[in-house]
Amino acid sequence: MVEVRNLKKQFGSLVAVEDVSLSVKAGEVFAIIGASGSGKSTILKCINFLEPPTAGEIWVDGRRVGVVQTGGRLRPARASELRLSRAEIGMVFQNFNLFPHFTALQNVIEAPMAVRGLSRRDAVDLAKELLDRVGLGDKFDEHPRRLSGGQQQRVAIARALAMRPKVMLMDEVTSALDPELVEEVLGVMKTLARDGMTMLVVTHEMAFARDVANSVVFVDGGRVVEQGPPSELLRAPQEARTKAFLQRILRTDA
Amino acid sequence: MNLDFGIIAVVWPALLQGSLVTIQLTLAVLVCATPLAVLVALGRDSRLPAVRLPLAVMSAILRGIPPLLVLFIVFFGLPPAGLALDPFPSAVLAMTCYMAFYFGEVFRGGLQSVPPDQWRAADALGLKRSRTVVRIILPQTLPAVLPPYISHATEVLKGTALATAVAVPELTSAARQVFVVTFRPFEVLMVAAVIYAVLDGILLALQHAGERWAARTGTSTRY
Repeated sequence: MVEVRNLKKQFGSLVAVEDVSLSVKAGEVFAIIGASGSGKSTILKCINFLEPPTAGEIWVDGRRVGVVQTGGRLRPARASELRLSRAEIGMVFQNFNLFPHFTALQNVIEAPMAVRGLSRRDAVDLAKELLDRVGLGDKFDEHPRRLSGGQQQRVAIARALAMRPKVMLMDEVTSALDPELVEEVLGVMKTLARDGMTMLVVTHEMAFARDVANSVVFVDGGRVVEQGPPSELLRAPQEARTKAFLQRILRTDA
Repeated sequence: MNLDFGIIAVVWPALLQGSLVTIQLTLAVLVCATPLAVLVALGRDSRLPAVRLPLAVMSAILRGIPPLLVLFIVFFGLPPAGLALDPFPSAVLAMTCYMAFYFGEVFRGGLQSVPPDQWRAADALGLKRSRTVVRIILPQTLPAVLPPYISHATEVLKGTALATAVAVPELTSAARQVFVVTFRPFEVLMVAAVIYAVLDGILLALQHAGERWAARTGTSTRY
């Protein structure tokens, strides 16, 4: 479903991501772990070209993202072509980034109407169904300011789902939440995983990675250090850097 | 001084006519200059130097010369160049050019007050740039933009009096013509001043309405 090949991202002279290759199958939950500043969020942002990669290839559902082939030649995608790719890729951010002047419902219906051409009535039906699914059936008309962080993040998940994406990118979606609100968001993500949604999840929640992810990759210094099923990578890491990272994070967790 | 406000009973149709022209001129300038100002604001921070630099130069020049001069350039300077406009459209064009850059700075500040993550969120959803600007970004600039916008709009309202110099029959011009024939300058000009004050008040009321909207939706608070 998602193929990242030899991805490199450079900001000026700073190399944030170097030679990263990942392969995510349909229906798989793929967790990316690593310290802050390790480049894991940049990998996600390169997948939907919020940060255009410096080098490498991104494929989503068999289509190249950000590059178009015409008559045997490759060229950068036009803004309109990039929008089509992004419509297929849902993204949820650490800081929710809901539109503050819209209600929960308006946040969810905006893109399906503007990008997918849904009628207002269809968009509203879809949005209500999705908000119901994330447990916010009674918050349709609330503005984000009136919602808790966990509720805002669930609206943000519904907003992304409303585009019927082929894959969801989750960028540290629980990191800005108060501890008691983390579970409600993780719960929604677990449901999504159970329903077969393909997800790339950048996370510090080791328990979530262990219980839900099919595959875990540890990133350090912009490179993939180690990759494998959570049962192996989290319980018996091979690399010294992975061990050190896990020891550090598990100590602060406990 | 022997005041006689009874004169108003005679001259009010002329002052009303002048007020209507003032209101029309103000609205025409606001309607033309506001969308242009948004484009100026976006262009001033464009990644393309070919867009950014000419706008920076034009902004500095237009904001640095007297508005009356801009009006004269449009009314007297353009006809030899092949564009002869009547007084009213001349005044609209001159003040629009001028105000597009003043309002442009206002919107620019407003755009910078919106967190860049809002653009990212809209991008990630696949929204078009134009829709993102109109639906997502501009409404959020309201709290930052509204007070300076209204104060500049008041400048526009007052500035319409300059159009008397190219014979637009707006309120100040009407008041002058009336007191010249009635020999009652003080009373007539006081009434004109009150009318301007009332129009200013309407603009301020709009500002408060906008601020209430922003407070209600929470646009004014970052979260």
